[in-house]
Amino acid sequence: MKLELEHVTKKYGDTAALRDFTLTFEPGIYGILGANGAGKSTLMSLITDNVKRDGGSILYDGEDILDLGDRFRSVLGYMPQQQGVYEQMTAESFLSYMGRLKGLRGRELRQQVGEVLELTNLLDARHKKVGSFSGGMRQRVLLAQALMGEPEVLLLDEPTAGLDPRERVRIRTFIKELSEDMIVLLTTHIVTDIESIADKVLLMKKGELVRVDTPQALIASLPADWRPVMGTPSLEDVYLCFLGD
Amino acid sequence: MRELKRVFLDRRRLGTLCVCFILCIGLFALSISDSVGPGELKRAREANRYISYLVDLWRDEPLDRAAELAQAEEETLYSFYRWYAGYDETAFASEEEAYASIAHIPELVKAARSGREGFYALDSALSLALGDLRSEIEYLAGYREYLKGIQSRAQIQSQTSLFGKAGSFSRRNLQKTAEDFAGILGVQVELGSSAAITKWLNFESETGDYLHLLAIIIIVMAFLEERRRGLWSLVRSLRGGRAWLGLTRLGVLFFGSVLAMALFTLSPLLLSLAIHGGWGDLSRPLQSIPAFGTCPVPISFDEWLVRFLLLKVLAGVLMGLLLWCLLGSLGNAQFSVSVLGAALAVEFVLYEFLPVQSIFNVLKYFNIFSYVHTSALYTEYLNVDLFGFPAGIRGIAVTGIAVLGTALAVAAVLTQARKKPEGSRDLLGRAAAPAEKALDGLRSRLTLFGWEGWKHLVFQYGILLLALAVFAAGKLSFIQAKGRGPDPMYLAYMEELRGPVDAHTDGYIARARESAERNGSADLLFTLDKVEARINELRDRARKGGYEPWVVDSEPYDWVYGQDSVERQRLNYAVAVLLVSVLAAPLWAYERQSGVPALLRSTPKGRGALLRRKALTAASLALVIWGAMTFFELKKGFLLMEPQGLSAPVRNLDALASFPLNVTCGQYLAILYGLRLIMLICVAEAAMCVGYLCPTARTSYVAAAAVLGLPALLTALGAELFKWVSPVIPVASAELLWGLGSGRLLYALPWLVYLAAASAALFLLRRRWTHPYAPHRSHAV
Repeated sequence: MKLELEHVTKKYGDTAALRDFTLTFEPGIYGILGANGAGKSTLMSLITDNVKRDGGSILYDGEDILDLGDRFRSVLGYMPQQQGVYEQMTAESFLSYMGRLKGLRGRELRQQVGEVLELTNLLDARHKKVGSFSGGMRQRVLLAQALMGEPEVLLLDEPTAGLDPRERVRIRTFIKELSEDMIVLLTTHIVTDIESIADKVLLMKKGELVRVDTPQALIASLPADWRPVMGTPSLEDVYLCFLGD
Repeated sequence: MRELKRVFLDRRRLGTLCVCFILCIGLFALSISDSVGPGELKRAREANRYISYLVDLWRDEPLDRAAELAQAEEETLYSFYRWYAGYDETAFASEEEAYASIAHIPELVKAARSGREGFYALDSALSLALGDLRSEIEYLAGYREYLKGIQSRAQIQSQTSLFGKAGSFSRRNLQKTAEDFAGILGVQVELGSSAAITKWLNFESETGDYLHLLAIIIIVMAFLEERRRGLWSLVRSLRGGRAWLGLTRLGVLFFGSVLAMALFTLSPLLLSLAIHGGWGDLSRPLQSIPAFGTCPVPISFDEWLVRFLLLKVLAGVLMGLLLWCLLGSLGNAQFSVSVLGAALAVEFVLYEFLPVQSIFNVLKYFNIFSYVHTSALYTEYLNVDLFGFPAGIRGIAVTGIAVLGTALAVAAVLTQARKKPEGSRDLLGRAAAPAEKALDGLRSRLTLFGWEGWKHLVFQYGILLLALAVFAAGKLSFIQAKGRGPDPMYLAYMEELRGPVDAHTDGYIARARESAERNGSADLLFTLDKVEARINELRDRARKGGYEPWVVDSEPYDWVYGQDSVERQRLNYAVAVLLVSVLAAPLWAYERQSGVPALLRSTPKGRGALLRRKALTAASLALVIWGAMTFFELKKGFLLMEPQGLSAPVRNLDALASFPLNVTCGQYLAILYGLRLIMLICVAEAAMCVGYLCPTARTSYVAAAAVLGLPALLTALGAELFKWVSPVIPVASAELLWGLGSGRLLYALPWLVYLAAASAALFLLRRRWTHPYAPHRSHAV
């Protein structure tokens, strides 16, 4: 299981949203850090084929995802940053519908719906309309649908935004458990989420991949003048050092 | 003032009210032109001028004499028609004499001199209008007797034990009826022009009333906007956000009801008077208008009108208050639409289906729909049993306005002031949970196509639109009879000869000729000559065309599918195009509105498979509309047709003598309906593609109606320029089939063009959805 991005480029007009991005993803959790406009969501959109790439290739197990088409999408789980949901649907209906779109049916569909509802702690609200949900609950519904269909590649755009600390920990733990046989790419502004679970951290700035390494290695690579005077350095210091102005 | 502006100057609400007003005027124009065909208001006006002339002429005559004069006028018109059509050449001694008989109708003289088609259409319109006038004169002539009859019946029946004991409801009801009508015994009914009022009243009770209710619903829903948008707590925290806001909204509701009355009640009346005339007759006693024959109030029409308009406004306020209290008391705004729908459905069922004799009949008249159909309170005289005492339905309704209106106004303001946004028990939410659970179980078994249908019909309330569409299809008129039938003798012979033209046909004609010669009937021999000529013509044509000659009754085909009904077909299928486009438009727009395209496209079945299911859903919607149109058309058309004629070769019909395919009439109809279905599916797919470009479902309705529905309606209403950009002619198909029937193959082109256009639109949609590179950047990034 390997997702390779080779020299991937995307421009919007004259602005390069992603520039010559090359990286190979293998099972594990990849935390993507970057300021707004760094190209994180564009990267996600390119992998989901929601935007046309201007150059390079994206290969899944050696085959271009555009050639794989539905076969690639059947191993893909995607949670977008925008909280787009069908407001009139109940949580269970929304998941049933998304499950259908992922090719699930019958008992398997109902079983998976139950599992992801339990996992995202939505069992009590399963028959309530998504339109009446708080932002955090919507976030969990979107995460739940991304987990359906047993994806091999999971793209999570800001998955913990709007969740309370207990839910964040719960979701983080779950993502960590999944990552053994799955490629998980997650973007977030909450650096501590990545610090605790990411196997590797990608630092992106203005469409370019600045650094990739384990959180520990990145922290270790901090220049001496960026190390705090008191306490131990964290990924936040790395963020400020490599991605700050 | 700010609340008034917020409610009425909101773009969506203002747009909806404008659309309703246009719809109101358009539907009224269609309803009054019903007898002469759509888009022929000119002919309606000519008929009204004629009736006004007759009314002025006979106004001072005793009513019995006026009835005789009306009958004589009908005979004059019919004689001229028979002479003009060649069925009775002996009706007039000379052409001058014939034209002199209708000299008082210059429009008809002009039409007769300029061509047969125009004459037949105008003659038909004038005869219908004259028939109505004659019925009205007969009503007026018998009105005094009718009133006397009520009194004498009451006197006789009150002495009979069959009608209950003294003190029973039946006895009291008889006495009350006699007493009520005694008040109008002295009323002198007068002949006048009533067409404007009668047609307005019919429209008012069928359409205007519902538009008024719709306007009230729109206003009340605007009062709940802060709840739906999550601003309720904010509004309540403001100074003036509680009781004062409630009082302000009472004023807004009153203004809204006045506005709705002006738009949907007064405007059609003014338009009706402008078209039909009768301004001078408004001060006649109310009972002079047949619709008010059972109204025991001794007032003139103009006095009644003032009372009625006031009642209409107050009834609107009461309806609004009722809905406002009901919806305002809900803790969960999500259930507003469902509760509103359920409440109206219950009230409608009680109003429509509760028997008048039922002991619960108070629920029928103490009902929101009694206030919707306000005019019925004056056009229907009815007393209901109220604890053994008869109570008039008008009295009940008016008392309801006063008592209930005051109580509801207080309740509405208190609800606005005291109802708290948070912490109240969500009883409806709890009650709905088991239903949602059951529905979730059902929905988890839906296929992807089933899901698309569910999303469209349930979540977007498409089912309501679909029901409205089927209801509208049932209201359409599919038959356009032009002129009177031909010579009855000729028709009788042709009816006898219906079927294949063979030796039996010749035998029958020979026997009929012998009989006519024996009786020395020159008229019959003359008619038989025409019959024989027609049979020979059919034989010659069939020999040349290589098919079997048949005598087919062509009238049903002409009236339902033929040249006579071209305007009717255009109008009907313009309505179908509008309905299909509005129904199919939000299929994709809903996805964009929900912000889910990127999510859908990231799933394996979210691209091609989803697109195919949506295309299938659009086709299914077209199929339902087509099914409704076909059902109602065939239901009405088959009443006229003889089943045997369906196996006749279609080329026996004059209009289709050169039809390129040698098919039977039944097969021809199958081709016609098949083409209509295909074209309606094309419209649905095109509408879906138009909707794809729109960000919300609401904009998709407007866009599809503007791009597809409006040109179709304009074409149907006579703007020929639009026929080149409107799909209505290929959808209606019959015109193109006649073109083919006359041997011009070029007439097949519009079908091919629209088929190609719909296919191209689908192809482009497929490219844009499955390869979403350019158009949806905002969602993708």
